[in-house]
Amino acid sequence: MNKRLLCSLLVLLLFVLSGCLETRVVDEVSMIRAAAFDFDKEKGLKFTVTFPTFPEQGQEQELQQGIISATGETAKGTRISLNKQSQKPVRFGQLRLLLFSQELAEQGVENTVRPMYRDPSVGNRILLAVVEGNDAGALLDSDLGIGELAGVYIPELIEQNYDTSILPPTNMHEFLFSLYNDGRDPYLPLLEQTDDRISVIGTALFDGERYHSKLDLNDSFILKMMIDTTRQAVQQFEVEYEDEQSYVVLEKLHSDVKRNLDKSGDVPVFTLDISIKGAIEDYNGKMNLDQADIIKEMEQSIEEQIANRGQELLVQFQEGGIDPVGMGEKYRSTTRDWDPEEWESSLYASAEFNVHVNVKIIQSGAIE
Amino acid sequence: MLGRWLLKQIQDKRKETLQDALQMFQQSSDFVMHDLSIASKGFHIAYFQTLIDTDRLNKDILPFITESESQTLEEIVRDIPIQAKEITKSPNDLRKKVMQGFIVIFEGGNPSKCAIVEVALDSGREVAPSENEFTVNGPQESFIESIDTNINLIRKRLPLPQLKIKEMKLGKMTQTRVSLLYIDGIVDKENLKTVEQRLSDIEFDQVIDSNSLAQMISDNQMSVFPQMINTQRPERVAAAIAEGKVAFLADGSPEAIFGPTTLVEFFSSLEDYYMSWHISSSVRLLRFFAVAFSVFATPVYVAVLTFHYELIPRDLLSTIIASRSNIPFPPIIEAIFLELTIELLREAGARLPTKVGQTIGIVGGIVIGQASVEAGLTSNILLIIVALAALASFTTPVYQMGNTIRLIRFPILIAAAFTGGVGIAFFALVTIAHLLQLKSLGRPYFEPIFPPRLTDWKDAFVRLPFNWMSSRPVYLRPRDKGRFNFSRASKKHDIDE
Amino acid sequence: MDNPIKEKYLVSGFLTLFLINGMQVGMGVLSYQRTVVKSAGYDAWISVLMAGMVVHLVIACMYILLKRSNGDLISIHQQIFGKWLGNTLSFFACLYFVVLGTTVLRGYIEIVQVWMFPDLPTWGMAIVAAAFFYYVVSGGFRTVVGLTFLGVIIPIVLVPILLLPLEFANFINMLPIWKHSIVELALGAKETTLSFLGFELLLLYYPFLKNKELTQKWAHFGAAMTTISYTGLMVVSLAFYSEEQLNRTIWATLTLYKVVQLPFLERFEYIGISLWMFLIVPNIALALWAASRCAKRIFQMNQRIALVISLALMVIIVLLMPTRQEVGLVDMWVGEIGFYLVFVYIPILVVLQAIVLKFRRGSHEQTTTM
Repeated sequence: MNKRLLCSLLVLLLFVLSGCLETRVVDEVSMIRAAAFDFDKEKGLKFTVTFPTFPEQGQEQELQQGIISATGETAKGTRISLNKQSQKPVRFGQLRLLLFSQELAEQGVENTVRPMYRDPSVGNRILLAVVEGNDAGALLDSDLGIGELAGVYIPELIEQNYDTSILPPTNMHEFLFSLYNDGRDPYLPLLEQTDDRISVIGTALFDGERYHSKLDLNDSFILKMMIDTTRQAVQQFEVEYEDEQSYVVLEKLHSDVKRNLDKSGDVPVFTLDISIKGAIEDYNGKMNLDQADIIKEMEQSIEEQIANRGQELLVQFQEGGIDPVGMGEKYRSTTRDWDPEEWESSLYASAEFNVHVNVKIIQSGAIE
Repeated sequence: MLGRWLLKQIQDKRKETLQDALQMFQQSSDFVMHDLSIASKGFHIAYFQTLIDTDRLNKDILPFITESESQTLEEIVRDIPIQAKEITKSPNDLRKKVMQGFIVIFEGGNPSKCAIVEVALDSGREVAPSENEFTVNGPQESFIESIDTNINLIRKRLPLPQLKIKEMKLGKMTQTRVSLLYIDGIVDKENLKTVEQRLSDIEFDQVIDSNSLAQMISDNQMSVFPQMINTQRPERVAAAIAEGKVAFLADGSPEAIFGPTTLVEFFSSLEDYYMSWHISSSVRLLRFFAVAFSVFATPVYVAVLTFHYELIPRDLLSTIIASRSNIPFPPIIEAIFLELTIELLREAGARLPTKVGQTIGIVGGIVIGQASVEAGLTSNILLIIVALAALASFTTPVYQMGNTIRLIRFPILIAAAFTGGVGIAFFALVTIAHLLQLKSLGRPYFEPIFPPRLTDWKDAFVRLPFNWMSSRPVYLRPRDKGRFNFSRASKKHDIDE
Repeated sequence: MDNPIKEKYLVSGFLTLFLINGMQVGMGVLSYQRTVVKSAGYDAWISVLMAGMVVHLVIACMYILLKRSNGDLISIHQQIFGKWLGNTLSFFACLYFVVLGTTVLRGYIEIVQVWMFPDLPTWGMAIVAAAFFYYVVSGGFRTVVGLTFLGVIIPIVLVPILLLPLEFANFINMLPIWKHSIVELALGAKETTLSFLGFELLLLYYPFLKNKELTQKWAHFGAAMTTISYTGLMVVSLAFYSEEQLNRTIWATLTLYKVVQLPFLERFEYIGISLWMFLIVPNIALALWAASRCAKRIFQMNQRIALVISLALMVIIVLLMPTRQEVGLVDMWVGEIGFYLVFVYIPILVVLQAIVLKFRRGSHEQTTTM
């Protein structure tokens, strides 16, 4: 008898105490899907968000997009003032994309990313990107044609480019991983808007939390190969054979990278061994691809290009004092008395880099 | 009150004569008494017209009495070609027997003794296929309302002298015959004693059905979980008592009850043993999945839509919001509306005369659901989930357990609506804590999950091949543990030998 | 003095594995990474292993104590310190168990408040929990063990999911191995104590085990399971986070779950938090059972009454900790007390017991020879 009383009391209490819990019913909140931070001259920050809305009656399958923006001194403050303009409470649990304008990124993004990381409702797989100029918010408002919402379109655009290995992939977790890492600097994809068309134009390199410089798409691909393994990429290369310029497109491009460090000399020497495998998809030259030596020559030509450009990039990074490839990490893993200060100030600047590339073309397509 | 009244009646009986008893019968209009003239002596015959087989009376008994030359009651009785007959002087005896379909023969106006002869009308139905526990394969016969036929059905399956039957009469008013069945030498004495003790302790005045008996003797009557299994299939009872369980039958009830049992046993159907073990194991796992789905699907939907919208994958989000955008209610109201609709249809279907009614009920559910989606009262995703959950709950082989599962959904649903995932987990924990404390005839109900007994897993969530089932379930504590010699059965021959 | 426990209340010896493991894994796992990394850096996993080794030593010590006295903590205390002082010490242990259970409950409530329901009232959850634990613990030791067993089995589904974040693993973080000094590692090991605590309850449930002398191997298995899973989780976390990032992440394990993305659901941490209840309920239930059992043995009182008092104490303490600062403070104190109680006090007890036994045997022999 006692137990039954107790059980009913338990259920009753659950009701009483939870009757006042704030609900977040899916169609009664404004679910932010994409957000953008811009630099605002007066207050410091401008925050623009976009969320799907649904007409109350009629065409229920059709989604539309709501967009609101607010300015403020802190990221949290702007988030609060968003609610003043919204019909439904603003929620960040479905956030997929966070954009920064280049101008803001130049002043540092940590203050805007950190509150997002601290908020438990925000996932850490969300995509971050930098937008050229100072109007990232406008990107969210751009008209992309019927049925396309910026909150879905832009993340898919970026992900697609990650999947095809055009850009080195990153998300909020990886950005923070590099940011809070003494041997690595973060990078983000760079977007551009031209006449209502949004496109990926390269990679934005960061020095700590600040935007440093940008790489175009070709360099991004090389950076990607120097950082990580590549799967299923497609890339066009220029080849020269008997003074004739031609282009070859390699598909099913798989690459692997090995980083070696030689500390025996005065300065640390880093050697990157990149091995690439690929298949010819398209070729506009006149050579017969059946001949082994022609393929060989083609391989060599590509190897040279990548190695040279890679080395140039590494030196460029070194001169800029940034480390997107994670050389510091490699150095740290082989040393017991790791001193980030010393690495930043003297060791990295004096380091030497070698890039070795080994290209293997496996097949030449279904036709000659 | 009733007890006192009965007691008074019994006390009265001690003093009364046979004449009084007969007079009491005569107050009922179906009691017939007429004269017989046998050898010019004044004999009387009396009986309840509604309780006896008049055909047999006229053909088998009356001719012998009227044509015999007997002078005394004893001689008459001797001549009647029926086994169940006697001469009694006790009005008490007379009273009982007449109510069971005996006829009375006596001499004179105030007899000191009378003859009673059994001519009871047996109006039970024939043994027919089981309707509630249908299987595609296997025997189709099921129990009927007569306890003797039912015991006969079991005895035919277990022709053993060790199959013992203990009969007792329960219910002060109904005086129902209840028979305890067990196999001596296998059954655990303690289990037997528990059932016997609890049955004989019952003081309820009416025993209508064996299921109500099962409730009266269950370990925890506050629990929603049934603690003994009821079945209409003789082979299931035979299998159970051959494992070492105790079963009992009640007269007038076409269902046998057996125990001790465990939670997982409620999800095994006898058909699992008729199909190959691969199939039956998969089907059993499917059933457990069905239970989990049926209990948790709607609550999870409600919890996610009310609190945890972060969980929804990107591609699903638009679909879910679009399906809900026109609905004026919070998810919990939606869900309760649909769940109640399904429950109403099910209950209505169960009350309809044929099984067709049930089918129509389910179809009707979908039609109503579709209409409510079109009217903008519920979302179509929820309709699918609720329909599937209802379907899943019907896969439980034991009907009572199916009811329990449908019932425990509702508190979980409400907990989900108020505290989301935490509420669901909390209720799951409360249920588990309850199941851990529950006992079936003093044996742990949650076995073989806890206490964990690996040997009993062979026939719990899966059904392994028969040659693995060399021992009877441990939780029954059978006195004879082995079914067969496992080492001999599993001996392997070499190739080509 | 000590009545043997009735056969039907005993539990199988191998369940010791689940009792040890289930009691150790609780709230600590969600956040232990940060504190260890603060002192041991990327060598934190070595610290965790070290702490695990020490736990094995302490378990061995406890078995020595228990086998010698063939009773529980109360009889050990009485054996060594006599009735009055022994019972006083046991009473402090009893309070410690209540507080141990309370910190787990308060920690869970805090996580639910931070991650899921910021407006969930603490008192409401505490009272519901108290009612639930009354139901569980009044079901007896077997029910508590059953919950512990399922509290280990059911959350096993969470383990493979913790491997999914390895998509972003960067094992180079951990190289070179053993960069830190042994002192730093030891400090790190001490920091993990709170997440390893709970196995000391063996001192109370030991009489409830069947074939209790043979359960030691199961206890070691249980502790080894904990150590392996903690070390594995630490390795995953170290590969996943960079050092500074880990320092900024309070609930590193939950943030690990955040990146898990399955086709039908995302953001696994919400499911993780809900399922975590299965891990923490045995913790609290067992602690409360131990506290009430302890009180029953000391004061010869009804265990139900002792349980109600413990529950009331638990609710009051929970209500006295409204903010994160107080929770952190109490956590730290419990960790500290637990550390000294388990890793210092128990070995001392072993020595004291040996001395007392020797002395008694000596005096006994003297009296017999004389």
